[in-house]
Amino acid sequence: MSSPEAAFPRLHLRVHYDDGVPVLVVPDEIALAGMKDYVRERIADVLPDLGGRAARIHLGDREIALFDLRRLLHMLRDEFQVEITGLYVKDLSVRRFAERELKLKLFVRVENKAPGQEAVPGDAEAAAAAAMPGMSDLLSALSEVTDPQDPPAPPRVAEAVATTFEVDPTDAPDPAVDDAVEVEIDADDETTAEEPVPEAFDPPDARRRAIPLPEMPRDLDPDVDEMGGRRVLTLRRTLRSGTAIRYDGDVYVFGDVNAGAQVRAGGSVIVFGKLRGQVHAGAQGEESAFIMAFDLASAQLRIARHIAIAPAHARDTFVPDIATVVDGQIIIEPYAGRVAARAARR
Amino acid sequence: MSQCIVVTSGKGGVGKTTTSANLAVALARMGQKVVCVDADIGLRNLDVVLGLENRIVYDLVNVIEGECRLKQALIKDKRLPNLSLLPAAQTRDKNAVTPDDMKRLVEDMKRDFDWVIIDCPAGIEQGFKNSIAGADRAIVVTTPEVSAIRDADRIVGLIEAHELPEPELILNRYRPGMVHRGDMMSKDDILEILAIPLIGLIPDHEDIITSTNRGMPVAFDDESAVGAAYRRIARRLMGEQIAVPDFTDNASFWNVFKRWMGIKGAQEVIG
Repeated sequence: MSSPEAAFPRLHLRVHYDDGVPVLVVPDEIALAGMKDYVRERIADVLPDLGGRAARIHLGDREIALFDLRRLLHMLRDEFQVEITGLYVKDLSVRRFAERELKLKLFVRVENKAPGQEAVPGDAEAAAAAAMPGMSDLLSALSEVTDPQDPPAPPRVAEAVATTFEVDPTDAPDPAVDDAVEVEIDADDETTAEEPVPEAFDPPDARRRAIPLPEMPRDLDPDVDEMGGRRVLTLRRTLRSGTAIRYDGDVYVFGDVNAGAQVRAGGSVIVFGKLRGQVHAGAQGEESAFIMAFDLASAQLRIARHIAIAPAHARDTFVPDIATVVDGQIIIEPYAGRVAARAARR
Repeated sequence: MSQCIVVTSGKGGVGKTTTSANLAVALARMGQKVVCVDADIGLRNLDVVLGLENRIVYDLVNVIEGECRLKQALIKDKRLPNLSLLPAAQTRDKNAVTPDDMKRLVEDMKRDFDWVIIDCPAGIEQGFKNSIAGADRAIVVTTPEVSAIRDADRIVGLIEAHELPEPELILNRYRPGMVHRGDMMSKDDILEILAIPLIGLIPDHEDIITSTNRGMPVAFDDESAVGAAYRRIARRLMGEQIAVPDFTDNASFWNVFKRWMGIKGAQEVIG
């Protein structure tokens, strides 16, 4: 890839203010690969405005990998003492990770929103559609939008109204309040349930790229194998409360997964033991992923975008249980060899 | 060969301090030289449970910051000359001490004592890290409640990650009657989840509350069944093989008969 600087020689970083907090705007046109270098070279242009304080970053419409984002933030912090506390970004996958892993506050734009008016669920879809316009849209919106309810106000107030951002709901969905067995993981998001998983998150190549495993205890020493063309992480131990495993392939656990432990796999999860913890199979959208355990005793199961609440009464079976997605619902049943075939057919 | 044991649990209020005090007393009564260290800096309690509150002059932080010698800070129990306490500072917080400080301190104490018992604070933060830094062996205390067991499981994982040997479990506040009725998780249920060896089962009893309030650990009391349970744990720590009783006396004929007759307040028999 050619140097982004050469391709777009006249682009500059900009800083605008939202609620008094500086927002570092990285133009859409800057290619992802060279972004770090670009920011490093050009940050001097805007550094006086950032003033070594907490700032937010606006990444526009681009899709960005968590890894790149993490490196960018570290560079800003370590080299320029700019602590990024918030993120304006569109790419859904990154937003989720940024929230959980990088502890960033997330912002999406709500257009024409009167001050103090709460976003209602009905608005959420519209908001999602309008969320995160390209940077040029954003900047033009800043000067255009005024609130008709207000008496003519000084420009500063008008700008404050125009730049109202809605903080993403950060709480996990609370499916417990719903009697339905199955709910959408994205139910609380601004996106509609039907919105497909962003493409950049799902191509086969993306699954090949290992997700960093920041929370893996040192002594886990996993075995990573290729089995039948799938990447497999094998863990020969019980996962105790507080252990978090993230992997972009299949995960086999030879041991129990205790309550309070978390396994998030891009592929399927098989537990050769009792499963009481939280497992998310197909975390990158793979609907054919399944969860299998000798004893499936989790309170909650997640496959792709579906969540299921397990029945309160535990079944005592002498065969392993398997959970798969069938017609958009998570189904748990005794494993009899046939379910894997069905999962494969889909 | 002296040993340092950390008594920990994750969750608060499950009986770490009571267990530390009683194990120290029970070991000291067996003729062992024991020092009990309160690592709960800022929220010290062990001195109260041991009844040594009014004799504190210097504390653990004073020792670490070099304001006094270790010998000056140690409080000798007058009832048991083998037993000493190193109290925590009440006016400081956990960050006043680092894991390296604790390691050095424990090494110093192991020269003079057979047993160093560290009463770990609740939580998994600095206080916990300090407490386990110098330990050779860990005891996890839990009660038969889902929340306590969940935290204990987490703690076991953290202890394993710190390359300590597999911790041993003390199951506290056990009520055989409730277990018998199916209202409480049984010993076996809990061991199935935690999958670590059980070193003691302490029945729930009023004795604990009265002895704590009097500053006289129940392990001094030869009459008390709870005291006996602590003394058995001390002997197991010394390497004796003693089976953990099931405390299933409640299912005895007399109790079953009383329940069958609907007699209220049938006192749970504590073995």
